[in-house]
Amino acid sequence: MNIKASLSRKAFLAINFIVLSILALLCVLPFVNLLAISFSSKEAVTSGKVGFLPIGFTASSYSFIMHSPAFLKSMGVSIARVALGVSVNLLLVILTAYPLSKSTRQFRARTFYSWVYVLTILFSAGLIPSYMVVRYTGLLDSIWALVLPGGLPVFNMLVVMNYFRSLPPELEEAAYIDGAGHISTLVKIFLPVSTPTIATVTLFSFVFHWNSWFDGMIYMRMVDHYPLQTYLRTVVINPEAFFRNTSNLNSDLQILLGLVSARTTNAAQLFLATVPILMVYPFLQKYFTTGLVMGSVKG
Amino acid sequence: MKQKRSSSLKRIVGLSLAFLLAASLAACASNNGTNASSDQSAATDASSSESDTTTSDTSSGQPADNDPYGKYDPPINLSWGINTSAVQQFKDGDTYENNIWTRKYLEDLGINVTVAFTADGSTEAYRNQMNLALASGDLPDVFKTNDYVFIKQAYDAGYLADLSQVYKDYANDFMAMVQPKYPDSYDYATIDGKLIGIPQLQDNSQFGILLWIRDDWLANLGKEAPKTVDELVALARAFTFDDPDGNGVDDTFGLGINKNLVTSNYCTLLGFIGSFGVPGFDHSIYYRNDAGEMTFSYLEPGMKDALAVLQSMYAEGIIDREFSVKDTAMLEQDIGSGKLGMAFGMQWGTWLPWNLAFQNEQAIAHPYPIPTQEGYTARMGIQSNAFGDITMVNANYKNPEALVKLYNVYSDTVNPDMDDETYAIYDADEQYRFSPAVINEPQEPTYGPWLKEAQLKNDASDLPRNLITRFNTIKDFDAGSNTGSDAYGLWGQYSLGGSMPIINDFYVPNNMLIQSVVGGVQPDSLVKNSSVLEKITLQAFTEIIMGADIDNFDKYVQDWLAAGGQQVLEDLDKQYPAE
Amino acid sequence: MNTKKIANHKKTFARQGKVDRALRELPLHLMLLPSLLLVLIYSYGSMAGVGIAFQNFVPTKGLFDSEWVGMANFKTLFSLPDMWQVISNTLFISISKMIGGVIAPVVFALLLNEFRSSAIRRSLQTMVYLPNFLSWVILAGIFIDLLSPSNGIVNAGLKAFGIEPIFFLGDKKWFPITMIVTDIWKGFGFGSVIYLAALTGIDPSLYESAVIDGANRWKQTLHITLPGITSTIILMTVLSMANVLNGGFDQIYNMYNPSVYATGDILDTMVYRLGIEQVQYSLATAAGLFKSVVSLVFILASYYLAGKFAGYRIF
Repeated sequence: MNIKASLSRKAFLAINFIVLSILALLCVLPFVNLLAISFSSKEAVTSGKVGFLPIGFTASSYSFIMHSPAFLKSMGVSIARVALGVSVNLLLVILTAYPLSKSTRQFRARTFYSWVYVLTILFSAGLIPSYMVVRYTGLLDSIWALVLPGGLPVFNMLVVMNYFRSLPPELEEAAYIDGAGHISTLVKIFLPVSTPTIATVTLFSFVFHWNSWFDGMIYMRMVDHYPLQTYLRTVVINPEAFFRNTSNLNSDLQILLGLVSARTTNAAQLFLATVPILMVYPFLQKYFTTGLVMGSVKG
Repeated sequence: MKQKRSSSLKRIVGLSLAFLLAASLAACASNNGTNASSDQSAATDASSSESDTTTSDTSSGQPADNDPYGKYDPPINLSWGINTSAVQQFKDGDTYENNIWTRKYLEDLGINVTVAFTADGSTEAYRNQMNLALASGDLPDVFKTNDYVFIKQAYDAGYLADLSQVYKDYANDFMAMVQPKYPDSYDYATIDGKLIGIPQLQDNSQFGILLWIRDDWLANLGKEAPKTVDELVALARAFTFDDPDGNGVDDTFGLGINKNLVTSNYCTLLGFIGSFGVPGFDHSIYYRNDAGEMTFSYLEPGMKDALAVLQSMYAEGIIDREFSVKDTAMLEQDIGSGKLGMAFGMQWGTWLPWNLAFQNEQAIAHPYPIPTQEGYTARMGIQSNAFGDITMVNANYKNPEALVKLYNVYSDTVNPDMDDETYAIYDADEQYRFSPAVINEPQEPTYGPWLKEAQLKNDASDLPRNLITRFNTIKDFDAGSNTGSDAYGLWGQYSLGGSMPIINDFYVPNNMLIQSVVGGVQPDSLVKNSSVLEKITLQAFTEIIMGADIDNFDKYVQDWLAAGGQQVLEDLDKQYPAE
Repeated sequence: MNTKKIANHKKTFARQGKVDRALRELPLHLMLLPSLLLVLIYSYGSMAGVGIAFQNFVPTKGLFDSEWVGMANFKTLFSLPDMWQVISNTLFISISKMIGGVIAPVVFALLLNEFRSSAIRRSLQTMVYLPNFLSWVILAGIFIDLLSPSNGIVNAGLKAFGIEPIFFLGDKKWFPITMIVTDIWKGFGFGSVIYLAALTGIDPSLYESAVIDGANRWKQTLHITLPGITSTIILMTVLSMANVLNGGFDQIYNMYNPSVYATGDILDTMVYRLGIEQVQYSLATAAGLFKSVVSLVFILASYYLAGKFAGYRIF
């Protein structure tokens, strides 16, 4: 009986491993293709020959980028934005999630507040009104314009609130008896046992700030202040759109040849732009360890 | 129970408080907006009345007379919004604020050009910044757009300076000369008889369509370029099945077509349907047919015949079976990898896409006139010349004539007669983009005949200085001493066997190019319905080519008219009455 | 001892006066203050802008001076030919994506959770998380190659099984399905992160006692693991209702073509085409408001259902 069970378990694990590995491979391949393009010669790329290995290996796309001040500058803006944005997000998420995680008995206004926050996910007024508010609060062309309007990511807040609510009530009551106030309960009791969730929303915030491009395009009045993804959108142009927007075709003919090899440099830039996200994840993974949490409390 | 009621009451109070706050915020935002706009219109009134009474005497620190080159002392500021491009390059530590043009304007004219905003022009960024600047009343001193809706709104709000008088007073000889030379362009920049900006100069005859074919494929199969549609179909068949590249693999296509069918600069149906007397271009060609009725190009009966031929070509496999998912970027790959040897396209084909085949395989492509079809007169559509960028001046700006002066200096600096050094400093490598004033006189229609004559005479001495280099490049490419891809690009346009001679000497004199009546000023019905009409057109044509009943074309015509097309035609008929 | 203390405390809690309670709640209000201010200014401050949907909005005139036109924009929107076709396309694609988008990450997280080795877990996790970071502009080009009926890998595979090549992106029947599958593929890895985090919160002692009771892995999954992440699943499901009319603009815009308009044209692509010619703010805002209201209805309904059947109030 026991042996049978462990046999079927082993078979399950093996099949599981194979299936998930194939799945994982399918997820990696497009990325490998991008990488191969970034290291291939322009001729090989324009004729569509590049698959998963570079053809006509060259690192010139990368050296070209390293000499491009615009890429590096926008990378700098993005780093500053992420640092500032993630800090603000985390602070506000935690400060907001804690009160809302209380029961209605403990905090009578919580349901009302919750809906105030949730409604903001659903209704957005569009380009011009949002721009006007940012303009009147004096944030135009400042990095705060990329941080404050989305200062509270409601989705993340709900995730953390949901987690706080799942913590055993005994935790808090014990703290209350010990005479702890709200802030010290939050900092000393709640946060230490919430690392996996905090790590998750940190990741979400990081990814959000790193990938956002539209607000950069609207609120930044100088291309020098574009964050990385906004900048990338301006270089990953399709030649057609380019043609149709510039009505002065003649003198722009020169550009076309540059655009052709743009595919390799674009691939390289896209790859470099993704690296930080790839690095941050394994770093956060170590917080995804087990929740000894509950056991320790209940005992 | 009681408690419940009180809490819901509180909720209502709380909610209304929140909305009050929101509303008051919005109100204050909009108040500022209206204040700004009323300020602006007041300012416009003031400045226009001022200019009525005292035309020549404007504000401070100015040269007294109407000197087209009068220098401001002390210098004045002029801010503008820059439409940037990722391909633009700075030289020697230049910036948007300090570059070759800002230094020149400051030195020559005492105009200190400053930057109000910069935004990328190839994405929606520039358009968004402009619209936001308009909405918030924050327009720079000088700005540029081709969007008529924007221009009209800015005009109605009183944001645009009337340049009629300053243009008359300050334009140099060149600027005075181009106004009558490009009447359509200046019409577009005129509202209620007032010149509200300086237009980009347009001559759309250069957008005639050509048939581009690879020389080596023709030679490999011992074929000639097709003169009729039947010959074109036969050639496409041979290109598909007879292994034109001689690699022994069945990997080639006959005629390149992209998924958007009629929009793009190459691999469109435009030349093909042109053979059937359908003057198409994007979805924008409205014109009076031979009977004098306002019509839309794709409703022509020739369209049905053309689609029938395309349908049989698709069924036979001599049009890529997967054309419906391929955009031009993918077709560029087909051309670059030597899978496609024939497609219709614009006159700069040797720059893109055929330069790719040249770079990879040194394959040369030549342009040919579109083929003929019995029973039809070949025609092609071109957009109205009354559409293009307009450079405008903010009504609040004290020195509207400064813009005209910038144009004066620009025209003296960048022109066909400039020497190579000037060209390299002020024009080449996108340097012209740093000037708020840019004159882009269409080069091909002007330069084409000059270069052709010089080649026939084999003598460049009559050419303006800047064209001598081009003349030599073309000669060198012919002689085989310059095989650069840029040389190939230029050669394909201007050599005797190039594209411009076909357009200038065949299309134009034979009246094969039909200009759309619709300029930038469009009736509301067209603005509102265009996306729906485009969808109906694309969907019907794609389905027919891919095998739907050819009589669906008649249904398409009905659908198109019913979906607002009839209204568009009627409105255009009123707006552009027959002459 | 401890329980007694808590019981006592509960009694005192009940006896507390109103003032005490308000005092006790005051810090909670204060903690909300910063985020509340931001939300009121930036979200609600601009929300007055939905008024544009009921106007013939002219930017230079602003929100207060533009002409009010009542429901005219909505009428225009719904009188567009194909509007209902487009809505049904949108609903089919978005609802399928929502369902797949909840199930796939959960299943993946559960399967991954079966591995003891953290090396395997971490590396698989990192790999599936990648596609989320490639934009559809890039992926569209790759998929058009992969799914090509003549020389794509996928169809070569199908051919090996004797299946006729399928024109995934050019066939009306297959296009929406292709969109759904590729979208789930792109997002499931990233989506699973939140469940993996929730899984770590499950008390390991529960498994230990289950093993003692003789429960096999399947039963453990059913009775311990799933209930342990139920609240997260419910939260994610309810929140995903906000996307009920989002078919995925970037994806479809980059992959659709006229031959699949009949099944592939969605609300967002249609609105985009409406706006691209001329900036029609009013119409675009009306479309956005319509989407918001529909989403709100769905969120309210699922909020109510979750409360009624799962006994769980998400917020």
